[in-house]
Amino acid sequence: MGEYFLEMRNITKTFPGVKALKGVTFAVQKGAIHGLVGENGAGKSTLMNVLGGVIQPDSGEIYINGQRVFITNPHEAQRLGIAFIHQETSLFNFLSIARNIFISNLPSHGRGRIDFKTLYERSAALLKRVGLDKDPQALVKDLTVAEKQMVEIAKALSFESRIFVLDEPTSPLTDREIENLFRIIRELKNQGETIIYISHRLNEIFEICDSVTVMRDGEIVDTTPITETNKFDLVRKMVGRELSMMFLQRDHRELGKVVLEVRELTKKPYFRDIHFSLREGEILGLFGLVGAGRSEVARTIVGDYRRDSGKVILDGNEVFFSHPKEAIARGIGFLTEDRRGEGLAVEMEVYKNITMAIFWYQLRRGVNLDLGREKEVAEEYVKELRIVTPTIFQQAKNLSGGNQQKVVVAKWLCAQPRVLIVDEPTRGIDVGAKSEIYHIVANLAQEGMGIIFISSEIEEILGMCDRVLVMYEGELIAEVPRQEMTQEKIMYYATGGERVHA
Amino acid sequence: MPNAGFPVRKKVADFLTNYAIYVSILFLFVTFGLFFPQAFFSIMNVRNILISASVIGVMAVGMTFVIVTANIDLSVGSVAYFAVALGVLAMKRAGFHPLWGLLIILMATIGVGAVNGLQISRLKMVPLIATLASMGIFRGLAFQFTDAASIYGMPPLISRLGIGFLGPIPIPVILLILSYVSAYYILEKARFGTYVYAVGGDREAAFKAGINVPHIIFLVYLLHGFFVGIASLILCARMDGVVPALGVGMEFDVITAVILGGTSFSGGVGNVWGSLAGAVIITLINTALTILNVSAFYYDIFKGSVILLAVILDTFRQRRLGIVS
Ligand SMILES: Nc1ncnc2c1ncn2[C@@H]1O[C@H](COP(=O)(O)OP(=O)(O)OP(=O)(O)O)[C@@H](O)[C@H]1O
Ligand SMILES: [Mg+2]
Repeated sequence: MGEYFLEMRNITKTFPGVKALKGVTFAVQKGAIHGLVGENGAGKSTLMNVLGGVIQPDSGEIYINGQRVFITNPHEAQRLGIAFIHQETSLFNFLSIARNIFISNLPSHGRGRIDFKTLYERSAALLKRVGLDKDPQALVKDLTVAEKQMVEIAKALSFESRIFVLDEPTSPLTDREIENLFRIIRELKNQGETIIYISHRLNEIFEICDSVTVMRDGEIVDTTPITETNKFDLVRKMVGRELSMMFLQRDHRELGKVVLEVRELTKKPYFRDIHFSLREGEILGLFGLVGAGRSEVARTIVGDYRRDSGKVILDGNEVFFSHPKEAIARGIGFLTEDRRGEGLAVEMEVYKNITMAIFWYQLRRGVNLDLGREKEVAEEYVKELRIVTPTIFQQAKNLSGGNQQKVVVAKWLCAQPRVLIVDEPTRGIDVGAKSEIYHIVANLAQEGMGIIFISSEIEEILGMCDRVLVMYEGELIAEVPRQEMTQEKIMYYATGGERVHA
Repeated sequence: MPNAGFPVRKKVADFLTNYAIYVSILFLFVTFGLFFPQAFFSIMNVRNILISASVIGVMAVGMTFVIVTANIDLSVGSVAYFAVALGVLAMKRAGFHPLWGLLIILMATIGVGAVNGLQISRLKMVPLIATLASMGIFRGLAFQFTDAASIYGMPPLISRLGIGFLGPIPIPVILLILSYVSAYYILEKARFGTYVYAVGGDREAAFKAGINVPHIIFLVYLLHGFFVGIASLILCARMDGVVPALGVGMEFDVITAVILGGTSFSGGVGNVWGSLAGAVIITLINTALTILNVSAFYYDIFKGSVILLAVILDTFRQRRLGIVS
C-alpha cells in the first residue's frame, strides 16, 4: 500500500432520496496534484466532505500514509493535516480578515488570550503570499467574492498540512489571481504536499494536475495520469455520452431597435464615462480583468449601486433605479456573480427558486394565477439544465454547489425580462450544462431579448457575443465587433491596449 | 453587498446605527431634565441611574453572549426569583452563613444556565421554547418554596452589595462595570469570544472550521447563568430579601436593552457597550414612567412600543448589514 499517501476505500453515503457515493475507492500519491472532475452532483464535494470530517460516511475506510484514520469531525481532519477550501465560502462576515484566516488555530498566550501581534503579523504575511493587499484588521464583509476566496486560500495555508483539498478554488477568480494560486499550489507540491484539485475548467486540470479521477453518479469512472488523457476523453467519461458542439453558430442575426442605452455612466472609484447601447436580439460581451469594473457597471445599471452621474435609457425613456427590484419591475434582469449569497433562497424549494422572478402576468390565466404552470416551468428547466435533484420540491441548500448555481441561472433564464445582464453565468457549472446555457441564452437573444454577457472566460465571449466591450481600470477601452474578435485582440485591450503596450 | 454604493447615505446610516443609542440617551436625559428639573437632580443623576441600571445591565451582559450566538433566553426574570428565593430561604430559614447564601444564588443561576444550555446545544431544542419552559417552571418552583410570601431582612454582608460603597462608587455600579469590562475582554480579546461570534455568524461554517459548536453554545449559557447570578445578588441585596413578583417581565427589559444596543437577533453581530447603553435607556424610561406615575395600562403600552421599536431597528439594521435582503 505504501505508494498511496491517501486512500479512501468503499466509501458510501446516502442522503434522503439520493445515493451520493456508491462504494467509492479513491487513492492519491504523495506529492501529487490530483484532479477530481465530474458533472454537477457527481459526488465530488460529498467525497471530500467525508475526508474533511464534515459528513460521516455510511461505510468505508480511510487510510493516510498506510494508517487507518477515523475522521469524526473537521477538527480531527485538521489535526491529521487536512486543509480544506470549501466550494461555498465559509467565512464570517463580521470578523476581521485575520481572525477568519486563523479561526481554527488563533495564536494565543496561554489561557486563550489572543496574541494579536502574532495574529496580525502572520496574517499580513499570508495575505502577501496569496496576493491580497488588504489590512488584516478589515472586516470580511466588505470584500468582493474574489478577495474572499483569497482569504480562504490564506486560511488553508495557515497551518501545517499534508493534504490540501481545493473544491473549485478558482471559480470566483480571474486569470491573474489564478496564476498566483497555481504558483502557490506548485510550491506546496515542491514541498512534498499532496493536493486534491476539483474544477470544472478542464484547462486548469491539464495545466496543473499530475493525474485525474473522473466521477459520475456517485462512482469513480476512471483514474489516469494526465499525460494519458485529453479533454474529449475526460468529457466523454464525465457525461457518459458524446457532447455536441459547445457554441451555436450564429453569424447572421437580425438586431432590432436599441433597447438600453448607457451614457457617460460614472461611479467612482469603480468606473468612469461608460457609454454604450444594446439592441434587441443582441448579445453584448463585457470583458475585463479583475478590478476592471465590469460587475460594478452592471450593479450600477440595475440600481444596486447609486451612480455618481450619467444616464440609463430604457426604450427611449430615462430611468433611475434605486434598488434592483425596480429594475426587475421595468424588465431588466440581473444574474449576479455571488449567486449563493444574493440569488438563492437556500431554505426554499428548487421550484420556487426557479420561478421566483417570473413576471406574474406570464402565469396568469384569466383572473387566477396558474400555479400548476409554475411547477411545469420549473420541471422544464430542471430537465434542460440537467439539475440533479430528487424532485423539484427539494430544498435548494441540499443541492450540490453547481446545481445551486444552475437553479439561479434557471431563475433568470425563465423570467423573460426585456434586458438580461448575466455576470459569469457558467461559473462552477459542468461542461454539459454549460452548452445548454449557451443554447438558451442564444435562443433568448433570437427571440429579441437584449443580453449583456459578462465573463472572464474568453472562449465564451468569442463564441457567444455579437460585439464585445473591453474595460480596463474602470474605462471602456475598446469595442470589438464579431468579425474582428480574436483572443489576442481582446486580451491586448484588457491588459491596457495602446496605453500600456504602445 | 446591497447599498454598497451610497457613500453619503451610507455614512449617515452608519452613524445612526452605530451611535443612535448614545444620541437617544442624551436626548432622554435632556428632555427629562427640562421637564422634571426637580426629579432630575434627585433621581436622574448619573450615579442613581447606574445603580438602577445595574440589575438589567448585568443581565444584559450574559444576554449579549446568548443573542450573539443567535439564541435567546426568556427565563432570566424567573430564574432570578428562583435563585434569590433559594438563597434567602437558606439564610433565613435554614440559618446558613450569608456566604453560603451568596454561593447558593450563584450556583442556582449557573445550574439553570447549564440546564438550558444542555437542552439547546445537545438536545437541539428550540431556545425560545426551552427557555419559555424554564421561565414557567422556575417561577413555579420559587412560588412553591416561598409559599408566594415576601421574606425580608438580609444580613449585612448581603445588604452591603446593594447599598455599600467602595470609595465614592456604589458596589452595584462596581459589579456592573466589572461585568462589562470582563465581558468585553472575553468577546474581543479571547479566543472564546471569536468562537462566539463565529457560531452566531454562520453555524455551518463554524463547524467546518473545527469549532465545537454545541460546546460553545453550552458554555455561553453557563457564562450567562453566572451573570444572571451576579444580577440576582444585587437584586436580593437591594430588595432586602425576596418578593413574589421579583423579576416579572424582566426578560423583556433585558432583551430590549441588548437589541437596542446593536446586537442582532440574527446572530454574529453585537457588542457589550451597546447593551450597557441599552440598559441605561430602559432604566431612564422605567424611571420616567414611575415619576410620571402613569397607569399600568399606559405603562404596558409604552413598554411594548419600545420593544417594537427595538425589533424594527434590528430589522433595519439586518437589512443594512446585508444579513437579510
Ligand atoms: N445535505 C444533503 N442533503 C441531500 N442531498 C445532498 C446533500 N448534499 C449533497 N447531496 C446530493 O448528493 C449529490 C452529490 O453532491 P455533491 O455536492 O457531492 O456534488 P458535486 O460533485 O460536488 O457537484 P458540483 O460540481 O455541483 O459541486 C447531489 O445529488 C446532491 O444533491
Ligand atoms: Mg461540489
